Amino acid sequence: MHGLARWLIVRHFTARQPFCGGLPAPLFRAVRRHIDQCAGCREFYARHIDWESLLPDATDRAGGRLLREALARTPEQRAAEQRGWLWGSSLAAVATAALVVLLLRPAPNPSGLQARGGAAISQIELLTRVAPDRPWSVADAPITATSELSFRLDNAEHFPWLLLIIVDSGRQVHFLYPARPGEPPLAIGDRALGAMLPDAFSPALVPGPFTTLALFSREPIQVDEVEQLIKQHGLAAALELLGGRGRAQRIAGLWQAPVVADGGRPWAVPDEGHP
Amino acid sequence: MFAAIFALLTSSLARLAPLAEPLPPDLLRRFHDGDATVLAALFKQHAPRAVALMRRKLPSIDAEAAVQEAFVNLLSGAEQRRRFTGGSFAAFLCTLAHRRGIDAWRREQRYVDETAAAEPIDDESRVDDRLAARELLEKFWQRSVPPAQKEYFRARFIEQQTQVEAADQLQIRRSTLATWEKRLTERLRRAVVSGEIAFVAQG
Repeated sequence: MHGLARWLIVRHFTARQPFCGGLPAPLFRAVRRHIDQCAGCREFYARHIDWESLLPDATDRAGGRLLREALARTPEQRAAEQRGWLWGSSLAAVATAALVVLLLRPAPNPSGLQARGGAAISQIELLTRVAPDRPWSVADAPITATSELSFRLDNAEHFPWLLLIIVDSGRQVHFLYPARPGEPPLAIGDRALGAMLPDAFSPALVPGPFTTLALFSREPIQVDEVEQLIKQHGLAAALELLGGRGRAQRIAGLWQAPVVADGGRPWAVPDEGHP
Repeated sequence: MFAAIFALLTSSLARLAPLAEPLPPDLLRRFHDGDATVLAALFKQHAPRAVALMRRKLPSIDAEAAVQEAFVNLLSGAEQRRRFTGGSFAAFLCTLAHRRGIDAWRREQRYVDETAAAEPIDDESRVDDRLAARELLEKFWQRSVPPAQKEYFRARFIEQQTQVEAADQLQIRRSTLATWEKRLTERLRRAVVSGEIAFVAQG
């Protein structure tokens, strides 16, 4: 029992995706009931809280976990708990689920896109190439200003719409999809795993760190609305607010060398040390 | 020592500063209306700070439970939501969680330091928290970080730089750093869980 509880605690704390990772609510409550009774596992859990507080993204990580756990404590969840989710049945469910996962584990994904937190989620990957005749590669190093950007898509959750913007180190926002306010985001439908998006971009970014914000949604969200949210609250808060309407993802990158302004319509983003 | 505190204040603590800023009026209105998206976003952003404050009163697990209970009550309690008129949301969460947490702790007949329980909750403890964390990370850096990764660990874990900043500073590809970070994170977890490095119990 202790071994399983501790295995679940490790899984709970090491999940990276705020809403898809971690333990399902009934399992989390089962673990909590166990640690209320077992001093050893309680200490094990407390040490994971300490560990989490030492990580570089501790606040973000802990915030996601605390929210997930708090939602598991709501009356609706507790009602489900009273319908008979006991520790024993949770144990059986975990064993079955683990077996199913092991047996049905898919083959490696040739696109390079990995489902984060162990769940199949919609996500994009930032690609770059130094010239139109060169191959695309994943942008995991500083990008020179003359490079082109594009994106590879895994729409595992079948969201119909994708909105994409970039915020550069000058706090300027560049619209990719849609290109202009008033237009709908990109209709992505059921693009295959690893599908490239149709366009290549040569944005005029201010050199330094930049952030790509991708928002998958069920309804076409207006870029004007996103613009207002970022203007008023900054990128991080806007991301939190928009995340409730679909799946939000941010990708950090580094843009090298000065560029010439392209006459677009960037505007200043308030607060936050980095985009 | 002072240099360390200064570096701390100008790096990681600076990122906490917006937490104390008042909520914009439109968000406050949506909060009062019980907009679940706003409530969840606020909780996600401020709960870690509220828990850190509550840990002055209760063990970490109970501090988290008290703050989470306060949030669950906020979800259904319009009256409680209206009591928040702006200011630090983390402090507001703490105020709601404080009495409930201490009472639950008493009900379970565990020891409560009544003097500590009666002390007001303030935000001054942030420096203490970060200094304690930094001390622990320094210890781990000395003992357990491989020489080739020491500079990265210092930049990312101790100085709290982003991975992009660290990659730029060290001129190492981010894919390499991501692998290092994954291994260092797991190694750190094992060190903390095994008690090889530990926070000094407060109180």
